[in-house]
Amino acid sequence: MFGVTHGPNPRACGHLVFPGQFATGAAGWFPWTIPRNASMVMLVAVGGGASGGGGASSAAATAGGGGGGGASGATARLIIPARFLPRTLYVGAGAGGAAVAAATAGSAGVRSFVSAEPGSTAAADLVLASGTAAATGGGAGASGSAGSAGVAETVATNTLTAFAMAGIWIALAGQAGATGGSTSGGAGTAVTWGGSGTSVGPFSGGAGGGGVNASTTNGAGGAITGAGLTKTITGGAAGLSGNPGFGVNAMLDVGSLRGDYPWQLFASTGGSGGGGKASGTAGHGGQGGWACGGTSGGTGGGGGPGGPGFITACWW
Amino acid sequence: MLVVTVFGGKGNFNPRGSEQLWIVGDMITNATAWASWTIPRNASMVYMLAIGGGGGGAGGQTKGAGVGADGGGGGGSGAAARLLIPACFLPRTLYVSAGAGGAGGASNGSASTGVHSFVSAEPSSSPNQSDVVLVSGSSVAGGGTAAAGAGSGETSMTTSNLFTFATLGVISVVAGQAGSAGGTTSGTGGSSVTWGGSGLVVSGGCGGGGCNTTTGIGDGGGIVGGGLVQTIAGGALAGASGNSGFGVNAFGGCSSGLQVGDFPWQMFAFTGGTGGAGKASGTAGNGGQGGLGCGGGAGGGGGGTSGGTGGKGGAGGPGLVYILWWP
Repeated sequence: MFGVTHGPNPRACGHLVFPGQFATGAAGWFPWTIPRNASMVMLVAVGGGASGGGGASSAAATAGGGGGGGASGATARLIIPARFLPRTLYVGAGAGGAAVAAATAGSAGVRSFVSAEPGSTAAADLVLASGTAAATGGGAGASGSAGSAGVAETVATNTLTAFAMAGIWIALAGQAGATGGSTSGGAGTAVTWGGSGTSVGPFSGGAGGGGVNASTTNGAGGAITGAGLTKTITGGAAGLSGNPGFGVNAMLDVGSLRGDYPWQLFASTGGSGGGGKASGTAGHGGQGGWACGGTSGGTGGGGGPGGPGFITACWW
Repeated sequence: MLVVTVFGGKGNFNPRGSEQLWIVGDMITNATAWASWTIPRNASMVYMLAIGGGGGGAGGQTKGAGVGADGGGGGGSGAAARLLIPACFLPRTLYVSAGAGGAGGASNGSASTGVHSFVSAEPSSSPNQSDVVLVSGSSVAGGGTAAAGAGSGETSMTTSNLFTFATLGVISVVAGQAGSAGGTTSGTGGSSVTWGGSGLVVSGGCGGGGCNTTTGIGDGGGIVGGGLVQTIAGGALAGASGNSGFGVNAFGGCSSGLQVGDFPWQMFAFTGGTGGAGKASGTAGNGGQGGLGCGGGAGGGGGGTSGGTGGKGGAGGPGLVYILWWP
């Protein structure tokens, strides 16, 4: 948990960030008692991204598909008078899907919750849920096919959360990952950050890993195509691992409210895909940034982990 | 009587200097009881919540000797609309009307509907689109009917036909919850209502129990609680009345709410009333009153071997308008 309440903050807003850490929804709930000077509270819940699938491990002279990229988490936001919430809330920020080995399907992400009871995700307890169904991992590459793309965490509905009724509530779905490179030695499919605009938000799925054909053609890993202030992240070339997504281990660092600099960009991307490799071990997928999908490995490479979800609470 | 209360907490634990205004409805139509509110000149942002009044519960059927009777249907709950907007985008003086809850049905009678809650630029019995800042919903919460029919929830407002001023703010709407059906002439119990199941902090009311042609009777439907909200049983003995919903008459405690100290921190949750039990050869139980914005519980049916009298329906809970602003 990061707290930012000091420094040049003349509006006296409080700000907490709860990064995702737990592997399932059954543990890792953090109590947060609403400060008694709070009039309004804004909560943002973003689910954990899923991991990429591992690329195929094929025998000699056999083609193999790259793994599919993991999907990103969904986002839900709530602005509500503090008066309408239970005094003590329990925050469960979802983990990203764990990295997987070659020829293994990626792990799903974990949704993020704010609840009136620790461990409860019943509608009667929930204040906010990041989405309806968690982001799924990318499919494993096989000797006959490429790995499928992970499915984005689906958008939350207002029937999930009773306490959100009294506030301004908006929800968005996550972004799907990308498919792996074909068994013709195709490159992994790229993912475009920001391409879905307001329907997804500043998070992305992971790119696909590269495939190989039955001889020596290696596909590169898929890239994350940046836009605006977010740069493009190239996929791994033949046999090389993909790159971590933008924002991995960095985006939520404390400090943006303590002064004018650093003012970190609140955006993150999935990792880029690992490159395929004939006659050897292919590249592994890169780790996803916050809430973003991990990327798939090239043929024979493991899938990268999905980025953890998080919850922020601001009050004034 | 319209309840208008302004709570300020500038001198205590309230560094933002925010203030709140609660208006709880109990009038019957929108033609009266508009309260004016002039936006303070130090207000930068304004948050509004409007919840419509709940529909009343129906009275249970009254039947003669050897005839079965249906329990009444529970009333639907109000819908909610919320708006966050810079104060400068609103007319300086606004008019607030918090909708009444629908009256409960008499014995053997259907119930009244709830009433919308409004924030408007003009006090009017039927505010024009161009005047409306916020309205709780589109179609009012329905009252239950004596023949076991449940009242519908207030439907959610659409941005295409109202909310002229709200287009400059951020708005969010949600529909109300329907009440539940009454028990039948087979002597079955009234249906229950699950609080929180529809993603709301209000709920519909429960149906009353039925009565068959001889001595078989059904209990009133109950509220199935969840989380911090407790379960509330319906009338469980022949002719027993249902219970009032969670939050009935408790709202006045908000006067010592968050901004002026640490406690009490009251639960902002309400439920509908529960249903009355059916009764053979006598008077069936009455339905319970709904909490704020909630449907009333319905009366049980009276019939059986010697005939009986249906119980009365409970009133729907009044709607409310809540406004919070800060510099």
